[in-house]
Amino acid sequence: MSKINVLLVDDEMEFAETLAERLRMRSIDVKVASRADEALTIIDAGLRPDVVLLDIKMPGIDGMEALREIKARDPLIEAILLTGHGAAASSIEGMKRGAFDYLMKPVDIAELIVKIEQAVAKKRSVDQESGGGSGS
Amino acid sequence: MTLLSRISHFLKSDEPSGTLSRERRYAYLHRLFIAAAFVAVVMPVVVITTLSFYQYRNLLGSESSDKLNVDALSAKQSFEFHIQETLSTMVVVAQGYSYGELFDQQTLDTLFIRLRNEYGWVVDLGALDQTGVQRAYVGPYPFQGINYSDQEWFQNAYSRKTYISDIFSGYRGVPHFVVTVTSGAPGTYQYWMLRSSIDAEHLASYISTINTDSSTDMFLVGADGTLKTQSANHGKIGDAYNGDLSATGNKITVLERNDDGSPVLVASSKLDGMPWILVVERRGTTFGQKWNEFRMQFIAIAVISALVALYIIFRVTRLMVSMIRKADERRDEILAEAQQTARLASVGQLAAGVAHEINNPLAIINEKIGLIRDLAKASGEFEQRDRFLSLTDDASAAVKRCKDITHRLLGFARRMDVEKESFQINDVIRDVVSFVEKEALFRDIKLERLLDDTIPSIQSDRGQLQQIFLNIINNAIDAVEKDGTVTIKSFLINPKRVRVTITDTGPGIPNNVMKHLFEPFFTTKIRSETSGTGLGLSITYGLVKKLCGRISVESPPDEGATFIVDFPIDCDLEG
Repeated sequence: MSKINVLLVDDEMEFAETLAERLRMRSIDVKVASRADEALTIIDAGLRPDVVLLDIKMPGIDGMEALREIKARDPLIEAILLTGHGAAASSIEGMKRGAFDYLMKPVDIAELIVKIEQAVAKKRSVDQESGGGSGS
Repeated sequence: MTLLSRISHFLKSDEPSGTLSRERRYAYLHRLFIAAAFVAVVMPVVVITTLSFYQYRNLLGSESSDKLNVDALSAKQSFEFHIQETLSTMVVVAQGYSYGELFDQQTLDTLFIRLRNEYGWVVDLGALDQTGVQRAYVGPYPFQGINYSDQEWFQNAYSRKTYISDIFSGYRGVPHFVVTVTSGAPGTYQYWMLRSSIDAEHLASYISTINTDSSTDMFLVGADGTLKTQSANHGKIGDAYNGDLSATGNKITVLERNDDGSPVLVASSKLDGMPWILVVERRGTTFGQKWNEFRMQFIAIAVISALVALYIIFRVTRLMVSMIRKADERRDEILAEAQQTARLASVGQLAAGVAHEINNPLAIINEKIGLIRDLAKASGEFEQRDRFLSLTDDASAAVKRCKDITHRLLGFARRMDVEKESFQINDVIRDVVSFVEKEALFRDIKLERLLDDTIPSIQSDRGQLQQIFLNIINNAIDAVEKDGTVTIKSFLINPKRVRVTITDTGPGIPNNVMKHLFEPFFTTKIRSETSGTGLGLSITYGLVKKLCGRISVESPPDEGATFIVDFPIDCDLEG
């Protein structure tokens, strides 16, 4: 199995960089974007991550809008929403818009890894069914 | 300030006026209502009663006066007729005889017998010549030949065709009066006078015949103001009459006199052709007895009406004040609920803000600790590695505790969506009890279930109901601590409402704690790893309200505490 590619989008860079480092220590490729528009630029530039970890509440384009944009560019990219507040309703709304799952901050790394792997497994099975391949 | 404006001011004011306590305020309102109702109801009754009373009395007085007038007139006419009849007979007799015939003893005897047959009260009969000498006499006294010329009555009668004298004693020493008829011109030989005497006693006798009313005193008064017949109220013949007869004329005059506080109606009239005044006195009124009865009935009815009105006023006032008191209490409850809801809402917003602000740095701390741990694990053995890893575990545990707290805060603040379904409330209770059974067993706490299985299915949110019972039962177990009982009862309080009570044998809830029980962040538990956030009962309160329920707590001293929760069988969750 090829390495998992993750795009982590969070305006809290302290959090994003630390989490990215921990994921990398677990053999996951992680790119970090501090804003949604930056993440979209990265995708537009040709990167096709397996999973996008998306903070819901961000300045500028928020997580929900970013999710819609990402899904518009590539519906196969899975997204896991990270939320710092108890907006269960918006998380559920995110699920309706195609998010794979959501997690409440602070996240447990083991739980996150499990979710990422489940999302990747789903994406890759869909990839295979459609006969396509990863863009990365 | 008028009574009405006081009441109006009182009802409009939110707070007790001045420093009056609420109880004193209700007492004051009670008095105000009674005073107002008294003025509005009892006063008119009293005024109308008094007016009616006096009007009726005046009416009766007027009727009494009229009645006395009629009675007096009837007596006057009867009396006058009685005396005048005798006089008229004597006039007829006098006209039937010429001068000298009546001086004949035999003729006079015959005439007297006829007169006596007709008028038995005539005592004697005499024929006098112009000198006043009684030339012939028939009667019981030796008055033959007696000269009356010096008598006052003779002098008065001498020049009159007919004459009725005043009462006097005369030669025989018995009160009597004379009736005379004259013929011929005075001072001539042809002049003579027929004289008859009647005892005054006859007048009294006749008056008693025409006066059949025991409450009426009828008597004659002479021109000199003395009694000519005996009076029941004024004394015997010859006594002075102390009444006022100055207004008396030939017609009946009725006056009212007051004798020692009791009214006396006096009718009087001069008797035609006689030197007397007929006086008829009646004490009280003609309708005296009737009036007394009426007065007693009237007073009794007025007093009873006033008492009934007062009783009704008192009861209605008490009812009104009680209703106002209940309305006030209901308003207070609603206000308190609104305050509690507002407090919960504002605390919820604050909690959400705080939780969100804390969560982000908490996430950073969590990741930093995680990275430190990852790096330590990746670094192989180094001095105090185990101690280092243990410390990161402690820090992670603390982060987790913080996370739990922020998640609970968020849970408290969040508007939870409700899902209505039909289920048995006892099933929910059994589920919750099964969650906590192990904990109870561990602490030797007996969980007693007294569930009424006839309760119908309820329409509500199962998950939230579960949360409610879990919070309360956990609370009860915490209160008991060890070796006690928690009793959960369910039953219907009416066909549309079910009640669940959770009673513990713990130390109970002091009064000062009771009033803060449902406030957010209020807790009596000592801070420890397992201590609560103080949100449990606040959340419970909010959930109970959301499910159309009511929650209350009772805690008699030294008897533990009972949480009472009521729910409708069907809750309108959308409302």
